[in-house]
Amino acid sequence: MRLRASILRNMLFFKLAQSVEKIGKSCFLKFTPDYVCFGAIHSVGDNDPAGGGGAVQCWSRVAKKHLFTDYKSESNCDNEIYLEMKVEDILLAMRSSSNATAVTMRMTGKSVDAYLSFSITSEDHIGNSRTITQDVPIVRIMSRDGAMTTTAFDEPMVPPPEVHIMLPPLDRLRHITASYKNIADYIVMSSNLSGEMLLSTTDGIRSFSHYQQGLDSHAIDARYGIAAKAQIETKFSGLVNPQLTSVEERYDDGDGEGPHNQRLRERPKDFASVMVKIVDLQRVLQSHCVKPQSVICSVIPHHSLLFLVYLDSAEEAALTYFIPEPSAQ
Amino acid sequence: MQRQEQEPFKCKFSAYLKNVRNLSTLLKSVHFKDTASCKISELGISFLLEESRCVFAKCIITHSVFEEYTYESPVGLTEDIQGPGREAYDEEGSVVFEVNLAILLTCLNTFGTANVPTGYEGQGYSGHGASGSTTAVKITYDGPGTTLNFVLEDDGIVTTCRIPTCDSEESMLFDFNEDSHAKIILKSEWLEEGLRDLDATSDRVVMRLSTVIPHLRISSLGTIENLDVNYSLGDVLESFQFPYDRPIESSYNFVHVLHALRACQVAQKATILIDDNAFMKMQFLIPAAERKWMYTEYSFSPLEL
Repeated sequence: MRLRASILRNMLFFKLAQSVEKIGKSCFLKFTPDYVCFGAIHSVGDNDPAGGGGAVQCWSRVAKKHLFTDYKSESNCDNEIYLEMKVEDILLAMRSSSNATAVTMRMTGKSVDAYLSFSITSEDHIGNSRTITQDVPIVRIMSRDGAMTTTAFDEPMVPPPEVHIMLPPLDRLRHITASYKNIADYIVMSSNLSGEMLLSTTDGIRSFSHYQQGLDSHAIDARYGIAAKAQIETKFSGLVNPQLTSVEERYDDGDGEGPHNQRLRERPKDFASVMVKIVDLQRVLQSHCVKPQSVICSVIPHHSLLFLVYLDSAEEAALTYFIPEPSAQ
Repeated sequence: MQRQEQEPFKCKFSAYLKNVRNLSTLLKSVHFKDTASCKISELGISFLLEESRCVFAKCIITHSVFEEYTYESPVGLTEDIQGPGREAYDEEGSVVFEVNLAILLTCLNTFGTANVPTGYEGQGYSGHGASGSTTAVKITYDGPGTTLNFVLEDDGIVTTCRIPTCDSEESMLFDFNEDSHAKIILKSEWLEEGLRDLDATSDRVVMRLSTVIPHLRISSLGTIENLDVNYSLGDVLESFQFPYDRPIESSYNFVHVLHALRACQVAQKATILIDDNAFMKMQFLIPAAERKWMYTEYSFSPLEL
C-alpha cells in the first residue's frame, strides 16, 4: 500500500479538512487514483459541549488535479485506500504549512502504527530553506469491506430536492442563528422558487396534519409550532434559485421533469420547509472559515437539507452537508 | 341574566425607530434582571425593574426620540365600563404589561447590530451595524393578552418578533422627598471608575456627603481593608447642593448599587440624590442619535445601620 502526494499551493486539501472539523472528531479519507473523498458524521460519540446535534453529515469528492501533483495511490483493492484520522491532527500539520513553499504527504509505518507524514519546506527571507516533518497518526486503515460498513463515504440516499436556493452571506446567517439559539432549539428553514427564504423559531413540537404540498408562513407555524419564548421569523428576498442540472438529471423520471422543475412550473411561490436543530445549522455555517464562493441550499420538504459549499469559483471543489429533520418525538 | 362576552380593551400603539441601537442601549442600562414592567403612553415608553422592593431601575425613551410614534388608549376607558384587560390601563390611559427583557434584547440584536461599541464616543455614537448600515425597528402593541411585536429591517432582510407579555403587578416606588435632598452632578465615567474601584468583598457601599472636602466619599468595607473614593467640587464634581448642616452618611446594598454600573457605561452624565431619609437615586442621561436623550434612574433604599 503506497500513498504519496505533493499538496498544491492552494492548500485545498487542508481547507477541506478545516470544513469537516466542525462536524465530527473523526475524518474518513478515501484515496483513489483519480479522486479523494472526505467524509465526516457527527455522532453521539463526539463529546459535544454545544449540546447534542442531530446526525449531520458532510462529504466531498474532489478530483486529484485540484489537490495534488505527483500523486500516487496504490493498494491491493483497485489502488483505493481508506483511512480514518482525527481532524485536529491534520489541522496541526496545516498550521505548520501556512508559509510553506512545498508540502509533501506520504504514508509511512506499519499497518498498526501508520502515519501520514507531512514534509513541510519553508524559506526564510534570505533564501535558506528548512524542512520540518510532522507525522499525523492514522487511527485506522480500513479494508474495502470495513469501509462499506461506515456511511461516512457515501452520500445518503435522499428523495429528490424540490427547491435550490443560494444562501445570503454566511455572516448574516450566523448572527441571526446565534440570536435564534437564545430563543429555541429548533429552526424551520423554508425556501421557494421565487428567491425567498424564511427562517422561523420553533420548539420542535409538530402537529401531524396531512402532508401539505405548499406552505405559507401561517401554515408553517401550524405544522411546526412556534417557540414558547418568542416567535421570530426572518424573511430574505431577492435570492437566486440556481438550476442544478446535474442534480436534476439524477431525479428525472423519464419525461424530462423531476419534482423541482415541476414545482418551478406549477407553484414557484410555495415554500418548501424543513425543521432542523439550530446547532446543526450553525455547524454548517461555520464553513465560512474557508471563505466559500457560494453556498447553495437544497430543500427536501419535511425530510432534510443539503448544503453545497463551493470552495472555488470554478465550482469544481465542493463540500456537501446533509442535515436530516429530527424524527418525530 | 346573561353576561355578554366583552372584547378585551385594545390600545393602538405603533412606533418607528431608525436605529435599533438607541433602544437596546437604553434597555441594557437597566438589565439587572429579566422580568420588567413596560409602560406605554402618549409620552413615551418606560421600563421598570425592581428587586426585593429595595432597588428599582427605570428607563424612559420619550416619543421625540422616535421617528414616528402614535399611542391611542382604548375607547371607553373614561366611562365606568369593566372588562377583560381593564386593569392594565392606568388613570391616564397608559397601558402596562410585563415582558422578559433578555428575550427582548435578543430580538433587538437579531442582526448582531444592537451592541454598543466599547468606549464612550462623545456626542452620541454612529450605531452602525456589521454591514455598515443601521437596523431600523417598528414596534407595535395591541393591548393586554397580545404580544409585543418588533419588525426589524436591515439591508432588505426583515425579521418579525412576537414576544409574549403578561399582566404586570403593581409596583410601589418609595416616596422620595423632592423638597429636601442633596444633589450631586458629575460625569458618569467618574462614577463608574469609583464604583469599579470598590472592594467586592464588601456587603455595602457607604456614601458620605459633607460641606468640606471631600464633598463626596464613596467607600467599601472589605474583609481586609476599607477603600475610599473621594470626589470634590472644582475637581470632578460639576455641581454640589447640600441643604444639611452636618455631614450625612448612609449605606446601601453593595450588589444593588453596582447594578448602576450598567447605566454608567452608556451614560454621559450622572446625578446622585439623597433625601433626608437616606433614600438614594442615581439618574443618568444617555445620548441617543442626533442630540436626543434618554433617561435611566436607579433608586436605592438605605440599609439599617
